Formats: sequence, C-alpha cells, structure tokens
Amino acid sequence: MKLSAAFEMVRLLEVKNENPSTKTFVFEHDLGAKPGQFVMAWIPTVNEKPMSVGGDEGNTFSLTVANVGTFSEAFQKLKPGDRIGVRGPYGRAYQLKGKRVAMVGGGFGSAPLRFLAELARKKAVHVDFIQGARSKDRLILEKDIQKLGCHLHVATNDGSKGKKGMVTDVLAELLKANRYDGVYACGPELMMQAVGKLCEKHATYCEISVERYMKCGFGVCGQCDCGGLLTCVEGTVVDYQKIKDNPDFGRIHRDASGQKHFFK
Amino acid sequence: MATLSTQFLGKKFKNPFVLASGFMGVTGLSMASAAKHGFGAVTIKSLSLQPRKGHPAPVIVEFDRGLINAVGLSNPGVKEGADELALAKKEAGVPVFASVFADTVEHFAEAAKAVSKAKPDFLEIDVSCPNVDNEFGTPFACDPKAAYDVTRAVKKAVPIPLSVKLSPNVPHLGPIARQVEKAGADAINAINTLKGMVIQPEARRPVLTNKFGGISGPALFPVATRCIYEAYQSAKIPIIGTGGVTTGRDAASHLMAGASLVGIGSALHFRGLDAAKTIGKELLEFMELEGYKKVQDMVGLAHEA
Ligand SMILES: Cc1cc2nc3c(=O)[nH]c(=O)nc-3n(C[C@H](O)[C@H](O)[C@H](O)COP(=O)(O)OP(=O)(O)OC[C@H]3O[C@@H](n4cnc5c(N)ncnc54)[C@H](O)[C@@H]3O)c2cc1C
Ligand SMILES: Cc1cc2nc3c(=O)[nH]c(=O)nc-3n(C[C@H](O)[C@H](O)[C@H](O)COP(=O)(O)O)c2cc1C
Ligand code: FES
Repeated sequence: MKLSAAFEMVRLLEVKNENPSTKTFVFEHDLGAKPGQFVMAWIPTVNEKPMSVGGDEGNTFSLTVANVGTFSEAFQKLKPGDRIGVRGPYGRAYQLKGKRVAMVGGGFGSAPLRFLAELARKKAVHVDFIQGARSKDRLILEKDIQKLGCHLHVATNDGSKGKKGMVTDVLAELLKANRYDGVYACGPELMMQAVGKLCEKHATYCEISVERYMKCGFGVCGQCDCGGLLTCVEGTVVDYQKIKDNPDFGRIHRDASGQKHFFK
Repeated sequence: MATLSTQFLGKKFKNPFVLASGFMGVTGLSMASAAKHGFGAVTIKSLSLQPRKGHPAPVIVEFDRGLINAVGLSNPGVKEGADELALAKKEAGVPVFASVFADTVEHFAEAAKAVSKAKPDFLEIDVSCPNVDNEFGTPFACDPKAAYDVTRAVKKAVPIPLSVKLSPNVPHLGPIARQVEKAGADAINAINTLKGMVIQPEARRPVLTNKFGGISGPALFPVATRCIYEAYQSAKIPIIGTGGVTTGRDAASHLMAGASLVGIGSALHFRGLDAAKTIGKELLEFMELEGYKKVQDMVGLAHEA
C-alpha cells in the first residue's frame, strides 16, 4: 500500500561542492529514477520546487542545486542528517539510442546528463560530453564525467577553459566529424533550440528537456503547459522534432500566476 | 447501439465529460489538448480581475485516496485569461466554459463581463473555493442569500448561459441549489473540493503550506454523489456532477444521482491524460451491458427507487 502521507522524508547523507554556488546533495532513499526524470523537493517551512535527479545508486540518489533564490539558498544550508520531503520521480526519461552519442549540458543541466552518461557508459556507448559555462569556475562535475570514460569537451564564454565560445560551436564541429545515434541536451532553452537545429541539419536524433513553472508535477494543474504540451508528464524530455514547431517553444514561458513572459 | 453524445442547454456534446476547472486549464492550447484527449467540453482555470500567484508551495500533493490542493486560485487575470479562452474556442472544437471568481458581488459581475468578450459557450462562477477564506471570508456558496445575490448579479451582467459551482462544505445543499435557481442560474455544478488536511507525520506538520486544502479524487466521490442527489431533489435546472469520478461506473452513479454532464479532474492523475477516453469507453460498456441507449436515459434514475 502507498503511504497515506504525500512525501517520502529522506535523509541527507553527503554534500559535495561543485562550484562556488552549486552543490550536490546525496540522499538516502530508493527512488527508482531514470536519467531525465525529476522530483518535487520540499524543505518544510521553506518551499517546494522541481529538481532533476542527478544520480540514482539504488539506495541513494542525488540532486545538484544551483543557488539562485530563496529556495535554492535554503537548500545550500542543509547539513548531513537533515531530512527533506520528496515526491516522484516524475516525467519522461531520456531514451538512449545506439552506440555513439553526444551530450550537451549548460548550467545545472550537466547533472542529469552525467546520470545519463553513466547509463550510457555501462552499456559501453561512446559519449562525447560537451559542457558550457560562463567561465572555468562555473563548470560542474568535470571529474565525475571524465571518470565515467566520456570524452569531455569544454566551452567557456570567456575562454578561461576549453574553447572560447558556445557549446553549439563545439557541437557543430563534432557533428561534422562524427555520426551520432543520438544527441541529448539539458540547459537554457535557447541553447537547446540551437542544439536541436544543428542536429536537424545533420539528420541526427535529438532529445532536449523543456521545463516550465511547475506546481503538481504529475499532470493535473496545467501550470507547466508549453503550447499544449504538459511538460511535467509529456516531458520534460522530448524529441526535438516533436517540439520544434510548438508555438511557445523558445518563445514563451509562464510564471506562478500563468502570466506570459518571453525568453530573452 | 449506445451513444455518449448528448445535449446540454441546447448545445451538442460528443460526450458528457467536462474538464473541471483548475485542471490543464491554464492556457488555451492546453484546453485544446484536453479536448484532443477525449473531453466533451473544457473549463478554464478560474479567473479573477487581477492576476494572482496563489499560495506558496507545496500546493498540490497526492495521498493514497485522492489529491489535496491549496493552489490559492492562481491565474493570469481576466485580461490574459480572455485571450486564452478565445484561443480555446478557436482550437478545442468542443464547448468551452469560462470560470470566474471574485471577492464581491460587483467584482463577480465585472469579471464575468470581462471574460464574455471571448464568447465562451458557458460561464461558470466559482463561489465555492475552500482555500481562500482568509482573504475572501466564507464562500458565497455556503450561504443561500449570498449565493442568490451573486448569481443574480452575474446573470444580469452577461447573457451567457450560467452555471454556478457549489460547495460540499455545507450541511444541506438543497436550499442553496434552490436559491441559485431562483436567481436565474441555467445550471449547477456540484461540487468543488471538500475542505480537508493531510499531515506528514515525520515532518510533524501539514503537507500544504496553506495547511488546509481541498480534497478531490476518489476520497470525494461519495460526498459528490450525495450533493448531486440533493441538488436534483431541490432544483430543476440541469446539473454538472463533479467530484471523484475515475471510472465509467462512477460516471453512471453521478448521472443516476441527477447529473446531466460529468465533471472530471483528478482522474487525469489516477487514470492518466486519456482519462476521459478511458472512462468514456467504460461508461459505454456499462450502457451496452445494462441496456441504456443515451446518457439522458440514466439521469436521475436513483431517485425513482
Ligand atoms: C523539471 C525541472 C528540473 C529542475 N532541476 C533543477 C536542478 O537539477 N538543479 C537546480 O538547481 N534547479 C533546478 N530547477 C530549477 C528549480 O526548480 C528552481 O526554479 C530554482 O531552484 C530556483 O528557485 P528559488 O526559490 O531558489 O529562486 P526563485 O527566485 O524563486 O526562482 C528563480 C527562477 O526559477 C524559476 N522557478 C521558480 N519556481 C519554479 C517552479 N516551481 N517550477 C519551475 N521553475 C521555477 C522561475 O523562472 C524563477 O524566476 C529545475 C526546474 C524544473 C522545472
Ligand atoms: C489543483 C486543483 C485546482 C482547482 N481549481 C479550481 C478552480 O480554479 N475553480 C474551480 O471552480 N474549481 C477548482 N478545482 C475543483 C475542481 O474543479 C473539481 O470541482 C474538484 O477537483 C472535484 O473533481 P475531481 O474529483 O474530479 O477532481 C480545483 C481542483 C484541484 C484539484
Ligand atoms: S506541473 Fe501541474 S500539470 Fe505539470
């Protein structure tokens, strides 16, 4: 029987610093998540927000959280032994294809992709992992990604590490030189749109993660709609071909009230 | 051959299932998607004159027998909302219900006028949300006189067929249904959510930040059936029976209690995005098995016993 209460209260085991404003939190719980899925994480008396699962080891799972506002700041203050509530996992997972893939991560988007890369490497799939950031000190999980045996390619806006420029510059070169069975992206929407367009040009299968403001996370409230797509259940991971002509994709997102905002 | 197609206030419906307000109804295209997934009509998330962010999260969670929510009537306001309604009218291909709420009788009428520009097929007034009494006081639907006044004012303000959404948080629904009918309502929607609470024992506190919330889904089902039954006893206007329906037999029960249409919300979680299709298939099977040709043939049957 399912628990009569809504959340699983899970204990924090370990905290790892990824960069000055991002940490990875390892919790004790058999979540049963697949790469690309997310949970709703509740810090009692603070708030509840969607968070992508960054890893699932059976008895533990991890979340990688960037400090950007009230909730994520409270998250950074959690100490081993503290408990938070989680519900989920929710959403569509990435569908891993073939023997050779590329992954493109921006910001905390590299965390769920590291989880996908782990799955890919277990199946001996070749992984080119492209990570982009403003500067060197913003990169996350570099060592973990390399440890998996992925080929890591870095792009920074200021050129402090890897190629100076955008992840799409690196992807464009890789797509010219290689034939991929799939390209998987997670990060800012306009970046993922650019990734999708590049893949389309090279007739390469591409999945991206389309995220909108969420309340329920399980397909009832309608808050997370993206032009007729309920991102929390029909996504967040979608085939680029299925989203590219969506009228809101890359253009419009909504806030907690449902009011429209345009991507800059 | 049995059919699900039916009539309501002179309009054709491909089936009796109405997407309940607050479900998938934030945008016009999302309502269109609900129609594509099988709903015979759709309702927008209730709109107010000004945009509202709603309560702090958690605002919706599931428990073993239902959902509890205190979304707090978040919405983009009647201005943006009317655009979404117009888009739903254009894209959904099924009848569209507007839904509004407000703090005063005058504001109800004003909000109704604002959404009428989008030319919805029906207008519903949500006078029964249990999650905003701190702000708005006792819901209009919990007092016969207040329910009469607000219905009258909205009916005078706009010419669109009017449905009034009632609350289960009353000892007797009958007197309220009667007043709403007397005030000129064209239909009754019974019911909104039932006020409740879910506590997370390990965290020693209610799961919702608002503490209290509205119960929907299976836990609400028998309460809804009772309310529909009481409304049918007291008023002659048609009823949209909403609350806890997750199977075809549930739908048949609400029809037999007196509903002409069946509102569906939480089943989107318990049965998935194709809930209306699935429940429709089950209802049709039930009708074939029991020998009913039309949905109308079942309406109010439980009162004959
Ligand atoms: C599917 C999904 C997965 C996510 N995964 C991660 C992750 O792995 N790591 C991580 O650090 N962050 C993740 N986020 C973002 C996270 O949910 C919060 O938005 C972020 O922590 C900011 O919250 P805040 O209160 O700290 O800041 P705020 O100042 O409250 O919010 C900053 C911005 O975050 C967005 N936001 C706020 N609340 C929500 C919400 N309920 N749903 C969607 N967006 C919201 C809004 O655009 C807002 O402007 C994810 C979001 C989604 C939708
Ligand atoms: C998350 C959520 C939001 C809701 N929002 C509204 C609303 O804005 N207006 C309204 O009239 N009813 C609202 N309701 C009530 C539903 O329309 C419906 O009456 C109730 O959920 C019972 O039906 P169900 O058991 O099929 O879900 C909401 C319910 C839920 C669960
Ligand atoms: S977050 Fe509620 S439907 Fe997606």
